[in-house]
Amino acid sequence: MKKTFWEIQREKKRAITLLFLFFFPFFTFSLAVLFEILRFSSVSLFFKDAKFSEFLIVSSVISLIVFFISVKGSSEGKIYRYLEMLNAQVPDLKDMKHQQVANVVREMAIAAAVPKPRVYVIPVLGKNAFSAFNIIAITEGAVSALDRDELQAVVAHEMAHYLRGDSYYKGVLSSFAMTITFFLTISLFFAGGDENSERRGFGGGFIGIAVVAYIFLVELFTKFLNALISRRMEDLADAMAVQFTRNPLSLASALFKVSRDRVRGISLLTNPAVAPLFIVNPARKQIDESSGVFGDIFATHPPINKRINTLLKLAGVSRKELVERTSPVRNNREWWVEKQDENLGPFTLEELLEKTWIGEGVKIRGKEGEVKLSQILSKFRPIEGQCPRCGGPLFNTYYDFVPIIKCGRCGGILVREDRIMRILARGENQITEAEEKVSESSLEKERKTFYIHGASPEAVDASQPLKCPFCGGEMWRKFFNFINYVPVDYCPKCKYYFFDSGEIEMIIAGVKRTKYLYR
Amino acid sequence: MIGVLIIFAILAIVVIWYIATYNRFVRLRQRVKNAWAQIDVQLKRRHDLIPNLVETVKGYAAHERETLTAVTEARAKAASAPSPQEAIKAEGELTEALRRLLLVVENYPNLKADQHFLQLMEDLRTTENSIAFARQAYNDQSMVFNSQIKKIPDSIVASQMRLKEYPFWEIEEAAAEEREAPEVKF
Repeated sequence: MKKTFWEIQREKKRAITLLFLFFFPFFTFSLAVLFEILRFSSVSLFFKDAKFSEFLIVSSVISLIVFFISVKGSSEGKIYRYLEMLNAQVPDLKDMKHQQVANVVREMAIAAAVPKPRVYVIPVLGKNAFSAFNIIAITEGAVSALDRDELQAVVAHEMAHYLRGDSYYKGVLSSFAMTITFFLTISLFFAGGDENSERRGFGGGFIGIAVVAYIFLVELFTKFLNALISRRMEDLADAMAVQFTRNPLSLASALFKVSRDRVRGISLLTNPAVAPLFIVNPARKQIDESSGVFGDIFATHPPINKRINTLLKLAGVSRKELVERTSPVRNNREWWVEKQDENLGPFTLEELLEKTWIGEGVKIRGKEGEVKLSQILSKFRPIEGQCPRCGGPLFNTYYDFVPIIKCGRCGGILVREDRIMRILARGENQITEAEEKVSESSLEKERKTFYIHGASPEAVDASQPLKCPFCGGEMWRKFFNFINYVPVDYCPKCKYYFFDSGEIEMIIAGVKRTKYLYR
Repeated sequence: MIGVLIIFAILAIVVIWYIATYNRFVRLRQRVKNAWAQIDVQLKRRHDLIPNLVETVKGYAAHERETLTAVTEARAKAASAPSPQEAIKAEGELTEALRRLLLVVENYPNLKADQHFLQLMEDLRTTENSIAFARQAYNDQSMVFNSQIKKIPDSIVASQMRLKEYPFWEIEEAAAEEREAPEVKF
């Protein structure tokens, strides 16, 4: 059944309200329980005669105070300092693109029927945007990568946060989490402390363990609730952005473009205090983490592909069309990898198989739609046996027309001994100047290492030999030759060399250099 | 004693609810009015923009006099329309004239490369968008308002405040086309 954005909005609003209603008693109650634990600990001098109900009253008062302080003083100054640190600037109205940003913000303020917020452009290449209090900031990378409609959609999303005052609520939530951690840390400090007092028959050790366990549980749960609310807020903002622009497709393609950001995670935006405010989480998580259950539970943003799919459903457009719209196929680059938070590609088939992190878990999408990794591998006539280095799947392919066997995971290659000279001869033309530089520098590193230890055959660490994928015997570890000192693996029985990813390039670079030397 | 306390508590809740609902209605009504006012502001903005645009186009395409005068006349008509109904109609004609002008502009690559002209195009586009968004916001806001004043128990407060439904902005034939901003290709 197709939902309208009004229905999505209503649903999310209700969920957020319910979660907030739950958060208050939870916070109050966990503080009260904490005091109860403290009563049995060595600080009991203060709390000795108190009742649980009194604790409940005390903690609700504390909760309210924390709430008001965090609403009133909700670190607006901090955001300005953060913007200053990033050297954020108001849009330069002489620059057409910047003017577009300013215009779009004005339009969206009209669509949302709110006063115009302040706009900043952050001179950072990462593609992202955030809103906090009455500020909307967008990065230079996003400004340049998105077209006008997409920019509008992103600003509309931020406008929704601004209209709902989400940053205030997020501030409240995080200050609650901080308060709990603060009290819990203090209690831990006391609880373990005084070993001489033997009150009520509890030893210090028991209290210590109880408090640690309690800290762990409460913190975990607070984080969980925080993330739950934060994710609903993002979904709601998406739905409201659609209300403002009436154009779900442009938000979908904006998110799609942002999720392909190559400089994500290494930009300056990953400050954990502000990360939840961005339209997509600026921190790039480890690939394996983000796909797991834990990634799901504690993520402050819903999986970006889920968001995109929701929007596409609203627009009545298929994913294939979206990809075609945003990035036409060039040079056989037609393969996409979909993960929760990222859309990678387009790759050629070879590039795809080189990616070390591609396993059965990620979604791969080609021209004809979704494909399984095993289906792709079967196209390449996969070989019995596993990569000696990483155990990944092996398949037949070519290195500049020379038949080789390649690992689909780590990119290591197996070459028959009699074919190596061909690779060295042809590879010379294959390698680009930039690749050569990289290879040479790593070659130099290896050379230095082995030069220090003396370049004898014993200098190679042969303590953990690899297993030959064909005969199962142990491979020799040796230098490829004694000019370049690149350690490689060799099966004397099957006459196959194994090169780790990049090693063959190092050897080629070495050969090239030697040629220069002796010219 | 407890009975009295309970009654007081209930009374307090009712009063707080009444005040909160009253204030919410005031806020909602303000937003509808503001959205309505924005439409006028944006239309005015468009009128201010046109002489500039016409001047720039004239510099490159002086012999397209017919199209240019059509725009200028439509603007004058829209600016001096006596009644809202006529204003809506005149605005529709203005949009039509502007669209024709933009089609003409396609034939002048020099003009399209003019920085000043691009600037004007962006201005025009944002104004056109703003008009459409202002209308949309007005309709959205009045929809929220209209459904809110009918809901029980809020309707009690609404009837006390004598709130009435706001009419939706009906889109006429000309205005319906106007919703789509003229396609500006750079």
